[in-house]
Amino acid sequence: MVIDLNKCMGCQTCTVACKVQSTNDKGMDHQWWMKVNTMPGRGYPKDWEEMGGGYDTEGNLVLGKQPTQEDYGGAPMDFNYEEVIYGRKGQDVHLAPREKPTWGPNWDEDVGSGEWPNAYYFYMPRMCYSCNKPSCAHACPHDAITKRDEDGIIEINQRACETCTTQECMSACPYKEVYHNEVTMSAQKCNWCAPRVDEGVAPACVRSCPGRAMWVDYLDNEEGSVHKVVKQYEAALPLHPEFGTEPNVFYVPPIGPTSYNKDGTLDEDTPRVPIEYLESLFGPKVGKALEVVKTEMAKRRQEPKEASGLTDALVAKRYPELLGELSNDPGGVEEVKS
Amino acid sequence: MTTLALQAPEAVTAGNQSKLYSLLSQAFRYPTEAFHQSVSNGQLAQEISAAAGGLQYSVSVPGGLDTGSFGDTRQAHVELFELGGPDGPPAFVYEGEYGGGRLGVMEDVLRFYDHFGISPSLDEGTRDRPDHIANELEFMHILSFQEAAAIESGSSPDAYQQAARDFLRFHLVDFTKAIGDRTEPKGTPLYSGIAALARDLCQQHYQSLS
Repeated sequence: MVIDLNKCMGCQTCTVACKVQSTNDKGMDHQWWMKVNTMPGRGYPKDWEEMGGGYDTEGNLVLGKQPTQEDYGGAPMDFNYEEVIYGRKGQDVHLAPREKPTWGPNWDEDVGSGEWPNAYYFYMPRMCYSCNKPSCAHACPHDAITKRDEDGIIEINQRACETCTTQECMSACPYKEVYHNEVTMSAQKCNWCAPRVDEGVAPACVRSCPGRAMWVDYLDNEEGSVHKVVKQYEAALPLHPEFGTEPNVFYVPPIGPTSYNKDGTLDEDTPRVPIEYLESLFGPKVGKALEVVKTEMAKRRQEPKEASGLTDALVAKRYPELLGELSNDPGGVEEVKS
Repeated sequence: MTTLALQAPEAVTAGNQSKLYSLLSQAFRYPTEAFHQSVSNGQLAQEISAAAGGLQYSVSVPGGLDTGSFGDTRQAHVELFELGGPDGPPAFVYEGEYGGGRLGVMEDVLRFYDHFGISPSLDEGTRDRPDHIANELEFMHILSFQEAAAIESGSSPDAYQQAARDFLRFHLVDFTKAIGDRTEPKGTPLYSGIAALARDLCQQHYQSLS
């Protein structure tokens, strides 16, 4: 999967599409398999980047911190619908959670960083990274987590998982994308909409993105946009490559707005999003990736215009280009009831 | 309340500026008995004079601020800022009423507040629109306060000064001019005086930063 952080506008349509389709069941209130975090930010679960996991430089599995209920914001929000809507108290009582929430999937929205007037932030959609070296599966003592041979999707066998008492998968995943369901007593996570993928339909997040900021395809499909952006142009990079799990979600890094000088004039040479911060997210190759994106964009802006395969891919004028080999219409697929 | 002991001359100047914005912010709010008392006993005029004297630019300090009884002060506030009369509309205390679109103005003002971690009160009795003149002046009070704290601690005040410049440029310079132009001809000495001082302070402060 490729996500262009220059195009993501933080509308959370992917988040809602995922929530409605996949995590709308008992014990899943705190589960946001897809969510859009504002970066820099503490994210969801809170401070996930500092919890550890993945592999060390010698390839040894690292067990980090397991997110607690507090890291997800405490008890699931329970609203006073009965009182306000059915209890005839709508004039006196505001609709609100019964317990004051302390954190949530996009708690620090638009906060960002930077000093006035050069404040900056960008949006980062996050889900299971479908890693080539899934530390969650490595850590699972019951072999309940498997990576499918045909497409690399990582799935959790719920029956095998429910006997587990340690949830080491949650400690091992450095992206903290595995959740524990207190009702089913099993681990659950984004499965890239495997039932849809089986029918040749793209995951709900990609299919619903109104900004055309997400692409899904097999990385070795040389005709596809994902291959072009990741392999041919090397314009998209994995998040936190130092975690060592070789994730399969690649981000086109944000160019960000131009900086202001102290006198209010524009400083074209200093990027507002510091390169050091981007390197901390995407590794040392991020500067080169940004240069590629800027160079290719300049080709389309200059007169006479030059062709740019990368810009064409990122613009995605033709919608099916986003979907690669998963372009079947979900409307044509028979509903599968579990 | 946070207090600062200031030693550095530039910090003292920023501190005086902060104090003046704070006094003006309180003066534009619907009058309380305590406020009226501070006007009647000359305390407000004295504090304004002391703060204005310590700025790096000069502003015209109003002469007499007396406005009669407590009831007269309240009546003057309502007539000037809410009702208007045969001479024309009131001197609205909300910036969005002077054009630019209410929601657009409020959103822009809130973005400034948000950046510095400030959110207007939502409590019953004290909450009001973010583009209320008192809220905007209070924001300038906080920015100047932070500027003074930064200078005193040896860190850079640039962010606060640039934010003040932008906020004055996009909001308060024109807003205080509009209020001043409507208040001065028909206001009581108190409100004509503070409106004129607010207009002068915002213009002079903006020029000093440009």
